[in-house]
Amino acid sequence: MQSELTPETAGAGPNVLIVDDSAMMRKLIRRVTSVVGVPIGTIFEAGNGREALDILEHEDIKFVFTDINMPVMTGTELLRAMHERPEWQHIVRIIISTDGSEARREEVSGLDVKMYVEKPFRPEVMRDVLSDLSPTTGR
Amino acid sequence: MAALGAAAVNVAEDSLFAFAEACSADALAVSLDARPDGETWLRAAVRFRGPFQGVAEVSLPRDLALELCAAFGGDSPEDVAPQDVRDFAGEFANMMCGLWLTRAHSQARFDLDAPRIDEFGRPVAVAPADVFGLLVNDAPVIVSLRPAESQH
Repeated sequence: MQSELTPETAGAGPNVLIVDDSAMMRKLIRRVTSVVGVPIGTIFEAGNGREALDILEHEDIKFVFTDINMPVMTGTELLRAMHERPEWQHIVRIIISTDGSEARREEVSGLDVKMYVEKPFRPEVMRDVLSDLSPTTGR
Repeated sequence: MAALGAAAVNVAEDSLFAFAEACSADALAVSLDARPDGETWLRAAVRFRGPFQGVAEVSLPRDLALELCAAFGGDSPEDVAPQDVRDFAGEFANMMCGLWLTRAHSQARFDLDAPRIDEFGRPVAVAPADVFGLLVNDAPVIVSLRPAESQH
């Protein structure tokens, strides 16, 4: 797994954090996020929940796209940790996971998840997610 | 097995921007025979645990994985790193397994381990009863499911 993840700086707009243990999936989400026509700031990447928390401590993040099944710290554990931090209440949390089961959705209910996107997804799904959320969450 | 294979077809079409179709055992055998001798294949295995457990696997020629990986990441094939190809194969298996479990057992919770990737030589024959064959961009892809008791 990639241990040092370099943020990609783009134009003015909300900063995005992509959390997935698959470098290829992070790359896909980053690519789709940056080409859907919605203004995006800097795109950060983390390979697990622990790395994501480190980034959240130091960066002004508006959107978090997180996988569920990850080593070290899962997406559910990340969301629980974020839920306990009132100062992060404004951060929009979106799950992108292969696990779309009702059991998993129930597990993350109450953890401020705005949307649940199942893999595999078509690029236009990400466009719709960002378009739907941006008008109310832009900087 | 058919449901797992159908999930693989959907992943290939929806996320990998490929043409995918299920194929018969005979068509799979013909397609395997047409592959070059000594060709390297990748096998990505995802162990799942829940109300029942096992390992879902997808095997494909490394050249096809490279082609799909490039399309997946929006790169040209020559810009794709070898590790990215392995990572991609794992993500293929991960999405296939997750989609299958979500469809077939939406009420249950499963945990998926990180994919394990192996390289091996071109398979010369497969037991039709044990696998689901599909063609992705006209190349053979083999999907299989091992129940927990046969894990190693």
